[in-house]
Amino acid sequence: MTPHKRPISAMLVGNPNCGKTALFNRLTGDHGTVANYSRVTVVARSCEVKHRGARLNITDLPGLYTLNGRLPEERAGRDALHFDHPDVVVNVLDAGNLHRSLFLTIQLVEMGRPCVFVLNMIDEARSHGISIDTAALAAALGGPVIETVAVDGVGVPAVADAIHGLSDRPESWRAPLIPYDSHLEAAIAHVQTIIADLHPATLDAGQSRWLAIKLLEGDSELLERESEHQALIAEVRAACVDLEATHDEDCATMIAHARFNFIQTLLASVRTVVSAPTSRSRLTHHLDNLLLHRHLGLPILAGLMWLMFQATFTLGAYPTTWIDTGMQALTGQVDGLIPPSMLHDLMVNGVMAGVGGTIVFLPNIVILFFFMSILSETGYLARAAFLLDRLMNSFGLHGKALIPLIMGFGCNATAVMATRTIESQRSRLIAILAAPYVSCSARLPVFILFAGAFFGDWAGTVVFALYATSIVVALGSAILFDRMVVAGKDEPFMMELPPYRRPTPSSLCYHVWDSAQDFLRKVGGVIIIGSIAIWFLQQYPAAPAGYTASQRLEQSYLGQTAAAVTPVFAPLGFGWKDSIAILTGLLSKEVVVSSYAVLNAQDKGSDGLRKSLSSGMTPPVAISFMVFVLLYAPCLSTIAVIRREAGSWRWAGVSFGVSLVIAWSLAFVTTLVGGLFA
Amino acid sequence: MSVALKKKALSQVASTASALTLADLTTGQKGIVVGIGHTDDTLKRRLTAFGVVRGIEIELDRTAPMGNPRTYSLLGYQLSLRNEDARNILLRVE
Ligand SMILES: Nc1nc2c(ncn2[C@@H]2O[C@H](COP(=O)(O)OP(=O)(O)OP(=O)(O)O)[C@@H](O)[C@H]2O)c(=O)[nH]1
Ligand SMILES: [Mg+2]
Repeated sequence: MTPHKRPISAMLVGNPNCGKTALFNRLTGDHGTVANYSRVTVVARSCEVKHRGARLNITDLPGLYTLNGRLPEERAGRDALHFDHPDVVVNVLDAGNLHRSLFLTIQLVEMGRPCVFVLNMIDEARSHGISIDTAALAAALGGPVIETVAVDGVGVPAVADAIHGLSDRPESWRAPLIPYDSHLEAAIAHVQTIIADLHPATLDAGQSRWLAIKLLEGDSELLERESEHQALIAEVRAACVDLEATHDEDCATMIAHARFNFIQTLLASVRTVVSAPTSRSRLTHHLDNLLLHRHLGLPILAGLMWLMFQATFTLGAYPTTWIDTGMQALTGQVDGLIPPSMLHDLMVNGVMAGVGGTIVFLPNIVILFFFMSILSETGYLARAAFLLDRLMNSFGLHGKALIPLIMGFGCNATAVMATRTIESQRSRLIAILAAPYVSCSARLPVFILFAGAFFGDWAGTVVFALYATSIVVALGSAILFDRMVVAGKDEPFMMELPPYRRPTPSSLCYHVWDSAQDFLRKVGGVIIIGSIAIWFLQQYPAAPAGYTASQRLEQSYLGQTAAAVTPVFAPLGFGWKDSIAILTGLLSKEVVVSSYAVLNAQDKGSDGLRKSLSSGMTPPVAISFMVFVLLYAPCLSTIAVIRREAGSWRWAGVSFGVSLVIAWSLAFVTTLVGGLFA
Repeated sequence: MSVALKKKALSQVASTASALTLADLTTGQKGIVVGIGHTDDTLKRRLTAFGVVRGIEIELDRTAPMGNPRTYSLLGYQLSLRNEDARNILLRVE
């Protein structure tokens, strides 16, 4: 064949957590998120690469256990297969978990698209003492079988070769025939003849067999599609009733059972246990004895969380000082370089103050993300969901909502996206609405600034307590939303617990680098804009000569705004600077800190900022302020994602409104109770 | 035996106290799946996709702190299920 004009399209299809994204990243050089739990990837992602002169367009699909699934991302995956007609399907299998992985394989080969089979995680299979006869497997499945260790890149070039080779010679692909029991075969043949009459010359034998099997299985989408052919549907139903009568099992179960029997026979001939499992393969068992212990499991989880926030606070302190010193030196330079003028003022007291005030929190954010990626890459996150399912359930949240909520510690917008793994619309909506209460990394600078200014050695614990509060409020809000959201059905909780895996240094580094970049982008964007805005509002309209500083401020736009909003916050004990900071934080919560920095630009460095904070507020009010910032209004990007994922502005509005009420009320209670102790 | 009768017999087996379900296993005990005694299509479909079909061996590994959910070993991997769902899986213990 001549060189391809059109790129060769290949889709990675396989069970959740079998290493599709790891393989995708190796094939394309991309950086899709890899983590050790099911359903990390919730939207398809494509990338084009050159391979031996051809262009390969590779798509990483969300994981699927079956092609009959009804999860939103399962449908997306299946629709991509049905309607985008990839040239090659790359079926990724977990070599250590072949029995279950092959169930999807059977459905794929029945569809009749050319398949390449990738036995990933072959390293783990070997450590279990398992050896697989790839030649025999390839003969049975009708396409090339390649062993890989995707995380290390072992075998990955061979996958690209196989995709290329198969698309060049599609005729070399022979879809194997999966045998069913004789009664089922008779029914399939019967339905097939009706299909052949209805769709003359459009479907070949393989396709009509596939359609017949799918209809007998009760595939609702295909039944819908063929619904105009009343006779066909009636025959299918009659065949099903007949089979059920003689076999005492419904058709779908019979078909599934036949497939599993086929797999069992196949595995008996291609898989052998050649040696005893190594100690590495028992590691998961021993670790779980401790981490999932009936009495110790939950205390350990709480302890790990505490450790994470404590470390975020204390380890972050050192690099923070360096950045702070650096920024002050830089500000000094700028101060000397620009002659006294409006520009000088804008740069030094606006931009530099805002940027300097926020950028010092970079280390804390990076450390937090580092710990979070360790949790998710080792496989502990899935365990946390297991430990807490019962608790979550009593709050009306689905156990699967836990992973999105924990991801919310990083970013709420990501968390809302991650709720796509929840099948029931109702459970999903509740999770979406509860997610913004989880304290995201953007709140962290506020906490660290205030806790550091007011609580000295206890700062780490105060931050931990705020995180705990955020979880309690998220759970509590779920009860509320449970009432508000229209009634619907709950879904069963079924989750695979993956073995513990070692995080790969390269992906850890990438996570950390990515989070740093993200934060710096915010500093370079919304923070600079916010700081400049505050500075302008503070300076204009220009005051007549002879005004004192406070008079000047009073008549500025900023002063006027503050006068308007301060009464709302007065019962909470917040002053005008606090009110302004809260207002600007609607953009994004880091802006709260940069606004303070601009408003207090005369105090040099973060030490100065802390001092002027602690002189203007009592500790109870400081806690109340942190509680308010924790809970009020999702940031703009989260609101946009809520709108998209919940499907209407209404829910975004509900989320915004309810959060203001909750934040104000809880902050009020905090101030009140704190006042009693002070 | 007619379908209706057979179905009735099956559901009676499921509802009598003596019939064993996945939720009745004790830690470390193994059973063989004999069927899913539930008419809800979604549940059946999903259990099937996880490999919970007639004839496979399944073992109770551990129980979460509040008694629910539990994790089971089957086909060489670990699956966690709530007891409400596990009750629909009928077992035979050797
Ligand atoms: N030991 C080993 N681990 C692997 C291999 N490939 C992937 N992993 C690990 O397996 C886990 C899952 O990998 P992902 O690439 O996120 O899996 P996925 O199939 O994209 O998962 P979903 O997006 O959830 O469907 C990660 O912890 C990887 O580090 C491999 O070949 N060997
Ligand atoms: Mg993935």
